[in-house]
Amino acid sequence: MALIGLGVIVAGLVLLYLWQGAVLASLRSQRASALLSLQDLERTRLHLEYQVEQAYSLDALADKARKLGMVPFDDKRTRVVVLDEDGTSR
Amino acid sequence: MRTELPVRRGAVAFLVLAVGGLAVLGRLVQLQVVEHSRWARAAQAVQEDLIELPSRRGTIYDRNGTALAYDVPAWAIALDNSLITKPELLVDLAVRELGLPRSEVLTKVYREGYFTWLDRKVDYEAGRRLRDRARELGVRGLLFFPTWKRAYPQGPLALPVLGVVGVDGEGLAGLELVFDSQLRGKPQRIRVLRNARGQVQDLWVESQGVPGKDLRLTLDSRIQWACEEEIEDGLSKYAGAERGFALMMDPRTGEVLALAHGPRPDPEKPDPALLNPWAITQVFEPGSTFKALTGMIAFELGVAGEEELFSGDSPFVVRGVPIKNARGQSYGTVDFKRGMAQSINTVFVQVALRVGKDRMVEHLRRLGFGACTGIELPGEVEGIVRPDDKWTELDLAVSSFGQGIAVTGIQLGTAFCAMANGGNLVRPRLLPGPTEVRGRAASPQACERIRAVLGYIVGLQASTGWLAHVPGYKVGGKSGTAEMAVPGRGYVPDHVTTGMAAFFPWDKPEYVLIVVYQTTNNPEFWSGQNAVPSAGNIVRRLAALGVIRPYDKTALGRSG
Repeated sequence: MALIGLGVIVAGLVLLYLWQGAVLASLRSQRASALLSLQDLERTRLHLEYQVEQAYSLDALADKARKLGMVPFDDKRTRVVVLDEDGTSR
Repeated sequence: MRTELPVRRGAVAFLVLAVGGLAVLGRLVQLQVVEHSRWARAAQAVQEDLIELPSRRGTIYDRNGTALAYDVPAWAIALDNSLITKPELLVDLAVRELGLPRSEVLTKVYREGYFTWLDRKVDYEAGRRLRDRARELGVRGLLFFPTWKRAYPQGPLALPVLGVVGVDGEGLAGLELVFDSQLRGKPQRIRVLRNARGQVQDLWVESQGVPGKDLRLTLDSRIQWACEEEIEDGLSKYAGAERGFALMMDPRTGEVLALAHGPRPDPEKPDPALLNPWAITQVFEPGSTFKALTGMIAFELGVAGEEELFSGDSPFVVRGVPIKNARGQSYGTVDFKRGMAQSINTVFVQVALRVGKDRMVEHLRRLGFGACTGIELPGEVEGIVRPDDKWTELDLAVSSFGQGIAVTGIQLGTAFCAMANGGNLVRPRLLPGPTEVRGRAASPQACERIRAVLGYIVGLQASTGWLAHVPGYKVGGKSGTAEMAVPGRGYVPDHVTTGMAAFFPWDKPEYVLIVVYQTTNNPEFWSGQNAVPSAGNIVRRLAALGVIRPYDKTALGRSG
């Protein structure tokens, strides 16, 4: 009886070991897949960051300003105000 | 006898089983012990992949922390020709999503082989679209490797200075080439374990890799942009203008704030000719901008004064050779300041003759001409200054107005920095650091006097530099126009370099600005029509951007 009991315990431990091994393998697989997704998300973030910076580049802003009708600094549209010591203008 | 037979049979069966068992055991020992490493390697080759991810190359920033060049995610896409299914669909997909020529894709798809690169720098979005579409359509045989691609968030800004990166991530030109070892990192290695269906079962980092180091420059992207816009504008506006550059420096430190070349290259497909920072790598005759330096040398040696009178008549004969003013014009007797304001060659010939050959050559060397400045860009040239013992009186005469001597843009900028900072020749630099003084070019007094003259002439409506005048910003400087010498043809009338060397505020300069244009098809190409107004426009653009404020009690306001 004792021998049978010992056999059952050993078999149980072996099954437990195999089950734990399977769980571990599954968790590792999930972790690997999560790491790959994380890497993909990080790359997407960098790509989006680049698009935002491009949209706010000096060239892009100048284009938008021109489309809104803004024009470059022009002497004909400039008035010179000379300030006196007391801050009043001439 | 009856009992002996089963025993014998049993013994035979036992022996057979034992021999068989021993054979199996022996084979197991052979596979798992003796040949363990061989089979482990074979299994590893099937189950594991070693992925090498190139590290992100360092970012290049301007002085304010604006990124000018950095790596963005991309794909390197290859074909496993043995696995390809639906090749016609694959060709259509590649042509549509990657924009590759159909003939090129056809050659690659129908090639006999196991591995063919389809495209190595595919945009992240385009690569993802291709991958998703291929999955949907059941197209197999495409291999996607994550990689990086150099991107320029500010467009082509400063591209000839930054340089470009090759398909393997190595610097090919400009700062990318000079600082390649710092910018380039070490790749990360990842080991991937796959199951029988090829899905990733586990992964671990075998080697972390080292990302490239960042680079911070002295360039100011706002100033760089203003200069590039103006040069681009100038090239479209000024008849015959083919190329140009604008250089802006801080004369106190030698820091290059902007180095703009036009026409601008396209960052997606840069033309190697437009990537050449020719303000560093090529020479030109500076023309009358040099009169400012001749004047400074004369003040330093005490051989001329601001109010001193000279003959402005043309021609002035030196050793039997007549030297003429622009358009052969004569001015009668004029003082030094008027000679500078109206850029009268013959006045400066007389000044140079007073300076003398030896002293002129010595001072030109002190100003850094004929030697590399040491700026951190590849391909810098020394310029051309005749050997000291080969100078004739005629060379001396024509050098006074910038002919017979060839300089680079950066040399001219550095010499004007010395004039602006009180006489120190500083090393021009693109990377921040302590100021490096390479020598003394002139005394602070001589510099101050010539700056006052140059400030006076730009403010004078009758001068050649008037169009660089911007109220409130105290611009000083000197314009110049010089014919270009073409090998075998000498000076050619329609090959012209025009320039404006300016600084502001002229009494205590914070900025030095050099603007140069060149043409090979317009004999009526004068600095007063292009380089001078361009210099003024750059100052106006900087004012509009809020980079500079008026220096005297004058405010600029807009109306209308």
